[in-house]
Amino acid sequence: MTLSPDSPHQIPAEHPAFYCRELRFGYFDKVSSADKEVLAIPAWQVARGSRIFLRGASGSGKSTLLNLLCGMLKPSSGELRVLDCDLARLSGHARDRFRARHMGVVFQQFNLIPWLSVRDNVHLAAHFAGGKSTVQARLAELAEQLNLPDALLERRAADLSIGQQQRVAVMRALINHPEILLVDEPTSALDQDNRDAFIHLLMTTLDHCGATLLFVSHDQTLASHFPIQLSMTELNQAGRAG
Amino acid sequence: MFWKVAWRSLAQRKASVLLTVAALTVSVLVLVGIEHLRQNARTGFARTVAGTDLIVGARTGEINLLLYAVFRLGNASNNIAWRSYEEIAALPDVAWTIPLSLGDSHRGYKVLATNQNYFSHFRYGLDQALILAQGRPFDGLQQVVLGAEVARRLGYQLGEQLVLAHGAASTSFTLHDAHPFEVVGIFAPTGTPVDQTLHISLESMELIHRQGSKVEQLQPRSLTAVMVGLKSRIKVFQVQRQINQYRGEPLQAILPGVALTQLWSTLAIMEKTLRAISALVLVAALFGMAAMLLASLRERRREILLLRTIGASPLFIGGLLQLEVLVMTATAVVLALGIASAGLALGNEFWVAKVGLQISANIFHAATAELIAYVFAGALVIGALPALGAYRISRTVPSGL
Repeated sequence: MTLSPDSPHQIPAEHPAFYCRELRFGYFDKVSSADKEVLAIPAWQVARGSRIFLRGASGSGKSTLLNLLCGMLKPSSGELRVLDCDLARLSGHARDRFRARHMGVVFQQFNLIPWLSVRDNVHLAAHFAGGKSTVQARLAELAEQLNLPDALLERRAADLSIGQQQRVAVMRALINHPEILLVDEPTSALDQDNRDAFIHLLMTTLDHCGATLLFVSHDQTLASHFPIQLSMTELNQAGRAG
Repeated sequence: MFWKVAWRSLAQRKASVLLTVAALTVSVLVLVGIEHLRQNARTGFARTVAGTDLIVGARTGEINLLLYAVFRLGNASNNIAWRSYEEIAALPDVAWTIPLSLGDSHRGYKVLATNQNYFSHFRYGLDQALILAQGRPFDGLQQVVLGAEVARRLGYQLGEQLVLAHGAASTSFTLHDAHPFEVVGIFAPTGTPVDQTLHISLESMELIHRQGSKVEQLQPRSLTAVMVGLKSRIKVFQVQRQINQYRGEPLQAILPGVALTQLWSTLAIMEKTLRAISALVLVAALFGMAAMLLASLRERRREILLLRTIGASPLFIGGLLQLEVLVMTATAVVLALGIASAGLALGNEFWVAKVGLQISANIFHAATAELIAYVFAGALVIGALPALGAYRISRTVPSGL
């Protein structure tokens, strides 16, 4: 099955944020002693600046996809380009550097080193990207956009509320002006009010920086915030005939 | 940033880090302390006698002669005749002699009978002469000059009277109480067996043993040993041979430096055992540190994967662990050296008094530097275990993503 040509995410873009062709990932399963295919994406690309809601339950291959996109995993076969860069061709160190510079990641939980201050957590991310002198200014700017008061920046990450931690995680993810923001179930630990506030803040912050957003969640109620929606079952052809 | 993360990470696990550092400190202290004591004991030992070219006694083992003549340990199997002594003293190459006669004691301390040459020719350490802290040398009968420890332990002052006992036991039944001695001098501490000796003249020794003799006949008939100084050291083997081949009676001459080295080498097995034990203590502490860090990896797994996602390389992660190892080791080394220095400086008096050993308070010498280098090398090698563990974790794929 191929995706219909009129799907919005199929519109050819000059320099897509992501580009996949015949992308496959599998591993050798010791239990069944056979190769097990986890992910198979015949064709997919995402234009820069898009905001995509990717719906996927656990086991749908979404973790594998995110790991491939940020270069923590290498594809078994096929082509994967991120910002026109073939990650598989980069050395391990270069991939780490690429991830630090061009991508921000926010998880469901444990986004911060608990025993470092908020400021140090953010600085650490800047450090891995090569540490620019503009970090201070960027930090102040993001703190304001994400409604994080100055006093909070000096506190240990572990002492923050979950909602605050998730906002700090966004700040950390955006400190290096990444072109891509990968977000994985960031709101599942939040209550309804905090959830809406978080999505709202995330969106307005992105308005300022224009990064491509891939938002992965199983929560369909959030989908309405996104112009483009997609489901893993649609995207991942693994295990299907043809 | 690297330093900051390592430091905060350690501060995060204060209790286990402090215990690990404490264990390391103790082990480094043991290692450095034992090495320092060993070195000092060795130099102190080798410097028990200086300037004496030969020690002559009745024929016996070299070490035995050294033990009783220098360390006042054990008893001479035989004495040498006064006539032999006179002939040795008259040899053309001999510059001076110190006659030694042992056998009596005072409350556990040995009594040495000798003559004025002891004050002028005896040397110890780096050619140091004996110094009288108080009083003067004996110049007549029934006068005694005390070693520093004897005076201090038994609380004798100048002018006090004391009675010598026959034989070496600390509680002797035969006291020479007919002839009390007056304390006329007290030596300054030397860190050698001199400190534990009471010195009287040969004539006094004769007097207390030959009751009723006339004072003019106080020439001793025999001696325990003789220390000999030569005019030229080149002649030492020649004179040694002459004495060894002496026809009057079986004599033996030893070179004190050589005999001291031989004696020390019989203690080599103890030295090696001490070093081996201290090395094992260190290895145990290092394994303890590695175990602590390995155990911490379980809880740090998520931190490591988080660091990886925000762009840390596996090398950064492995390096972080090694840096933590280095910080803990360096802290322990600094603490151990500080404690050792302070302990030696404050306890100097104790060491001299207790072991009769002058221990230098300066532990910063080449041997210590070498040991510290081994400590760091060992820490890095053993610390590589948790570092590799962290490196391996950082190569796995986060499941939480």
